[in-house]
Amino acid sequence: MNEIMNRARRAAVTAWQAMREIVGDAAYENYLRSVRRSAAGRRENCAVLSEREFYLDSLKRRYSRISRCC
Amino acid sequence: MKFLRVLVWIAVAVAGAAGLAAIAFERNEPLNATWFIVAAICTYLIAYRFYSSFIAAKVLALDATRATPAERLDDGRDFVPTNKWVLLGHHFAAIAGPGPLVGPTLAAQFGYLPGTLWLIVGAVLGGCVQDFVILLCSIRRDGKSLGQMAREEVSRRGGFIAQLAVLAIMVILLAVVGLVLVNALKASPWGMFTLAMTIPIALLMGLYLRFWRPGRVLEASAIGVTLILLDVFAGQWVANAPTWARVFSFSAPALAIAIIIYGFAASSLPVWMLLAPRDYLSAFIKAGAVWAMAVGIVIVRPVVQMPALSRFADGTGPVFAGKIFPFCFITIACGAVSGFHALISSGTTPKMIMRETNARLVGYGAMLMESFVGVMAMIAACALSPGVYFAMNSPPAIVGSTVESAARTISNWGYAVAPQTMTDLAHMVGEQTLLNRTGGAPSLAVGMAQIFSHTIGGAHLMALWYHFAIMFEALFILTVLDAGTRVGRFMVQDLLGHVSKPLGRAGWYPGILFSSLLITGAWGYFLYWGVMDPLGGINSLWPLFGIANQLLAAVAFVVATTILLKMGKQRYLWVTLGPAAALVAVTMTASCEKIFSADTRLGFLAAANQMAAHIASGTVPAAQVAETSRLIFNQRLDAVVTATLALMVLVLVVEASYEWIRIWTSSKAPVMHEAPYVRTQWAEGD
Repeated sequence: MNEIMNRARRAAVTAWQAMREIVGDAAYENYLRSVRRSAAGRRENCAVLSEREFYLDSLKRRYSRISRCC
Repeated sequence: MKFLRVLVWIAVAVAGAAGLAAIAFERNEPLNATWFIVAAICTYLIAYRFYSSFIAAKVLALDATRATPAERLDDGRDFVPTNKWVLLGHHFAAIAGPGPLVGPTLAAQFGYLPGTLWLIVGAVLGGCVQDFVILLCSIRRDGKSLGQMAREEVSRRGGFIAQLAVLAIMVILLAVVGLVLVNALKASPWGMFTLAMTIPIALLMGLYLRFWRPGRVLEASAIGVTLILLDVFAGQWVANAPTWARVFSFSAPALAIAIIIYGFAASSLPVWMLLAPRDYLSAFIKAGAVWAMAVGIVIVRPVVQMPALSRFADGTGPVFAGKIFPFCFITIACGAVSGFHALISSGTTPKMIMRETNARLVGYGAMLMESFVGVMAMIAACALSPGVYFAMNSPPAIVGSTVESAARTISNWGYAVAPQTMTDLAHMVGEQTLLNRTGGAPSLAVGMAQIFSHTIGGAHLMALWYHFAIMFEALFILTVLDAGTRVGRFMVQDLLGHVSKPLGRAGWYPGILFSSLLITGAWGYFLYWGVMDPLGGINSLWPLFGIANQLLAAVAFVVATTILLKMGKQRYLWVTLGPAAALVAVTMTASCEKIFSADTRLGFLAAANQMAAHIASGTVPAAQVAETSRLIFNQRLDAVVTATLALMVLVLVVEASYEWIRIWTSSKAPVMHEAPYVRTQWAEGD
């Protein structure tokens, strides 16, 4: 029974995480991870955006090019 | 185990063949929609398992060891390595627009057979291949756009044509979706109130995401979707209160002007305020409605009432003029092959893909899903009684503007419909009339409402479901208008930058306003005169949109063929050259017919000449001469636009053929512009 509950919980967590990824809720976490990954690399001196700055920046990027189809 | 797998695939193939045979040959009794679902899904499974795998292995030679731009250039902003299933969701949300819903609904005038076959076959051999191949080409070029690839791989002129085609398609697309919206909401206080309220709801979400909880899209969307559903419910009170009903009842021209003003405002406002939150809302409602429709069709299994081939296969249809070839293909457009998808496949998606091998699922798979949406729209439209379908989708110039005259005309065509049926149906869905609601959206909404109400709530929820469906269609048409006008504004600013530097600056407000005015004026012009067109506007504008869209697809296939040739894949050129040839044949034939046909409903010039003759003979009342002269000008303008599009196809084909011959005969060394191979640093399971 416990095993079934654990599996169900894991499936729910995976589904929730996938949902957050699809709608963009996880975008800032992904950005921070990417910054950390390359901290020793090319973006060493770049300022890290705050959550609000990142949100506005991502909107500006997305809606400056064709992002929706007919 | 292998034997079992073979048996399973044989069973899928047999089921698919049975489904297609039932659709194609069953004539004696009404066909159940289950056959459509079986035929479509089995064909998709076979195509995905075998054809896409052949393209992946032999034609494109996908390489899982090659690092993608998402890995090499990962910046957490544009280049973001993304799980393939998440990216499939992203990509599908981006490519799914109103086209695959409206196109099949309009094409249902030929009967269910031609449209359904093209939706399925066109997608697996054309649309999916285009999306997949262009996606892979863009991945190997660090996410370059279709225009950039056309410029680098074909010629500078090819790139210019691609850019021009994008701008043309954008203007016509925005006008035609605006027209669909006008026809869905004119004189409909419930629908208008519902849609108007989405503006304050989107503004509230925008403030929430900008100031209170930046980036928490799920929370804001949950609030927004709840308010929207309450809004749909509240619409009936507005429709039943005479004072408020008057406030929210708009005539078609007034609605067109309101939409033009809205488009201008939405493209000039900061993106966080209205455009982004509306896009989130639209994506959620769209996903929900499409899934609900799929589940509803499976549960209800509606009987298709439209014949396999209607009498309008001869080109005399009231919804739009023209024969099955080429106009069924032009009308279906996005549900089978969409040039616009090539822009998405060479836009955001290639920058997010983790492995080359994922391109198959994302590129080919997402388009299969889009095609299935088109098949569902076809089922919903064909589940209506043909008499009702034609009464809703025919303009007053053909069937008259009273239920009696429409019923008489349509019954004479052999599709019986009683005046009382139309009156009762309008009453049942909470509208004053459903007559002459051209554009496809209202008839699709009635079809969806019938399926939904059979699943939940029965007949007394029909009005609520109808307005939910109208809101769903209107919401993402407005999103296309917002986002399209904004991107069009950037394109115009780009062009203006060559004339005046300040006008080209993205942050200079007078420049923003001026370019917004230009792009809104361009599509607004076509929209307004589409509304004033006595034949309903859809008859002229939708084929124009289809031609532009398929032209862009031809551009994409020509670029893909050139790249395959440079890759040394001569043996497999038919994979892209076949669809390219078909699309060129379709667009050229449609263009010639739209310009030169002597049928005044089909040919732009014939219609203009007929109206000019009426003015000359004095049969046009003096008060209408100015308006008729404007309609004549519009018909000639449409002819010029169509001729320009056709000319662009010809130039590109000639240009590319010259390039192909030079490469084939080795008189020119093929130069590829791929990013160099870099081995992935990720482990196999990543």
